[in-house]
Amino acid sequence: MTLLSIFLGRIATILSLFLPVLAGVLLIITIGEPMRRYFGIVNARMLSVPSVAMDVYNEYFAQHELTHFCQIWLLKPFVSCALKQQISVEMNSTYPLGFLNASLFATEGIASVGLWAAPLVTFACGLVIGFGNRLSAGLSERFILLSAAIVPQVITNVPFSTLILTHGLWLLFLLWYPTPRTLFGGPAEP
Amino acid sequence: MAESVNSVHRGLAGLFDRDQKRPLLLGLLICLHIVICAASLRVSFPFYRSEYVMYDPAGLTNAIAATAIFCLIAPLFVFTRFSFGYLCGFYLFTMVAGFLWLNSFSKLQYDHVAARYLRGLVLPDLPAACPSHHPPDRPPFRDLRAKLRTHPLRHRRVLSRNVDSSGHIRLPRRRDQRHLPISRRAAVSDCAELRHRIDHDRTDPVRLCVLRPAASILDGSGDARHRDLILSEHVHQDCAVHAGFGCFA
Repeated sequence: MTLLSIFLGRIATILSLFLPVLAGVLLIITIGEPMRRYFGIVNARMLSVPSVAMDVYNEYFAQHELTHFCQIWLLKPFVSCALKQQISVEMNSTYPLGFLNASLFATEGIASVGLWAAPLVTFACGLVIGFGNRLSAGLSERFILLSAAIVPQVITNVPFSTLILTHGLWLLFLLWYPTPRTLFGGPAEP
Repeated sequence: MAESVNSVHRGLAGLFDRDQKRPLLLGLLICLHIVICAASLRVSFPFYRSEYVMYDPAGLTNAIAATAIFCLIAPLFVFTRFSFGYLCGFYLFTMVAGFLWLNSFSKLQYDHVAARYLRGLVLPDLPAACPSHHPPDRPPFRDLRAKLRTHPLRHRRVLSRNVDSSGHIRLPRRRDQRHLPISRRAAVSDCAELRHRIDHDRTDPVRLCVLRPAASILDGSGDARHRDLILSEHVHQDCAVHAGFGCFA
């Protein structure tokens, strides 16, 4: 019995994040230390670290030069880059959090254009997501949830440009567009 | 045992799966989710990287206030439909809420207030707020192209001559037919039948227009003749709208 067999769309989306986090909190409070591994993977890595990354990027790029999108390999030849190595490597050498990649808010926003212009870049990324939203319109909720199940996890943990180019979100968009709308059940509820 | 599992299954599905009609339940679930996330971050403090996932009772009020204010956008997740943007938006929403919580306790060196306001300014669920609505049996954008191609304004000059002041259809003059695309020239001959029915059978032109495509939609037989009839029949602007004009190109 899966989450999708009981719930659809919005409830499944919320519960997919809510239930593991709730389980982690309950387990660490009731059982304690033996549940540290589960808590570390789910509650810390999945929930806390993307937020911590924004905190860390804020500090790092308040004191260092911005990247101006030079982390994107397509743009690197055309932009002067203050970074001598990849951001994740730089973060690992500065903060003992591992090779920390971060979401579009941190990498495309804070790191590339700074704190004050970050909302504009985030808005542009939102438009791209909106484009994908449109391309997937009419597909069944179950199909969208299954085909894009990993995207929410990736979007909170890697830069948006990496998600699009390297991790193949563009390909997912491309596949969604010609998919027959009635092939995998009815469309999303109006 | 199996019966009790099935009854729980049905009960849960009945409770939440009709959530279109139960926004309160969805809203409560989102509120509970935020509270649990805050509890998780609080519990993380001694367990995980305490120098980054911090907690300080002195900053608790600020943390609750900042997160609560940000969560005022949560109703967007209650009143919008599910989509890809909803899926991404909810995770990003949770991440930003978590950042606002941690920001109140953070001891890292940067402008915390500016970061808090600017993060709050960003609406991560913007795509979720843009519902996507279109007929289910075709990919998106095709309707838009069809609407542009068949929009009444595109052929207003020719078509406006087809309607007299009383709303009756006149056959376009032959020289006007040249301005019509080839697909529409055939439609002009259909006007003869339409005109006959309007003038002699005294059929309401609007009803004619609406009934025919509605029938075509229902039985899926939107054949070329019906389509052309609608395209040529611009007696009433509302007629085209009511008839699902863009769906027939």
